[in-house]
Amino acid sequence: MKTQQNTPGQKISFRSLFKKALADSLPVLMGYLSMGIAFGVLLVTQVKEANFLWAFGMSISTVSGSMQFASVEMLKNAPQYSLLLVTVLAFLINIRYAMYGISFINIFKAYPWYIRSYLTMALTDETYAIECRCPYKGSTRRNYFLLVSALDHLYWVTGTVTGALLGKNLPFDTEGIDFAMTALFLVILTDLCREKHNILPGAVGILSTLSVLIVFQIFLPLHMNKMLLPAMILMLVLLLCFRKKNKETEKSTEIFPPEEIK
Amino acid sequence: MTLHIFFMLFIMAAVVIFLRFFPFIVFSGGRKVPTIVEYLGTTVTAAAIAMLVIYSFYGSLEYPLEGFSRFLPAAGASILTVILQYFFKNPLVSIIAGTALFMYLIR
Repeated sequence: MKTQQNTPGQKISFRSLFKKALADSLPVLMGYLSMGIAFGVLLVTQVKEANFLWAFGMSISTVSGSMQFASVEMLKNAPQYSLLLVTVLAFLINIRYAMYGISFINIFKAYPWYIRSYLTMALTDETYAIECRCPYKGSTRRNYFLLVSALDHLYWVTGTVTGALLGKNLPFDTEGIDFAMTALFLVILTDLCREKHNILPGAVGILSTLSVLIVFQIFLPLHMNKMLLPAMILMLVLLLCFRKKNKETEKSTEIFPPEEIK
Repeated sequence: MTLHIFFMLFIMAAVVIFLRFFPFIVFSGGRKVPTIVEYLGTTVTAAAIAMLVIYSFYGSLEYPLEGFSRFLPAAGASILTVILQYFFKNPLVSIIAGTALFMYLIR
């Protein structure tokens, strides 16, 4: 890469770009290390056969906090979860990732396939948020994206592996520590509901799950493990019903314009 | 690791990777994003997380093993978590405080 295309009238060295990426991802460092440690501890205390290698493999390949926390619940009672249920749940929890990519189609198109693939694989909520605020263009932007993605990925892997190693040696009785999972989902939901357009879907999720839970508890108490699929179907049906009503209030996804790499 | 668990881990990773690549495969030709995909992409996350809140809350009750004895601890810990997160926006503090309160109350 001979020329570096930047914000107008300003050259930036790799060193200062690295510093910038490090500074921008500092809040993510805090978040990922602490969440990662929580996940690692939970994984090895809840799933008997799990060890730090599981945390390492999952964090390298899946790179998704909400998916990995939900996976602890599934792995804990693995025989109750059919592969179909796992697939559907994974789709619902992670469908937002399909929206993030749409914003970057035009930008990533100009990159070689291996860079494009890595940036796509490592695209988490937090990395997406940082990349959306990227002030650069051209190859500087590409390097910045790579640095931010790799740093965030590294923080997440480090956090989860540390947690998994710690979790095996906790000096106290861990009974009830699985509440951390509920707490994490509550935290995510609280943050989502700061944005108005998430309040209705959140309420739909709570009400449909609660009503299916109660129905199962009364009529099919021995089949509680099968309640998730009906709850998901009810939830989707309700969401689609509401769609007709507020079509005009839909939020559209921002798509960045295409660019040439100089 | 049983084969079933291996497939579970494999599927979870594969679905996440598939979803991340999905828009690049389908919409890169400048094809317009169907509004229903856009709608679900922006609404399903909150609904799915809300579902997991209820489901894991139910899980932490250990009903019927513990009867209803864990309902109040779990409800109290949930309220504390939400209030802390809403006002202080620090996930680690909210999660640790909520979990610690729950672990204390069930003893």
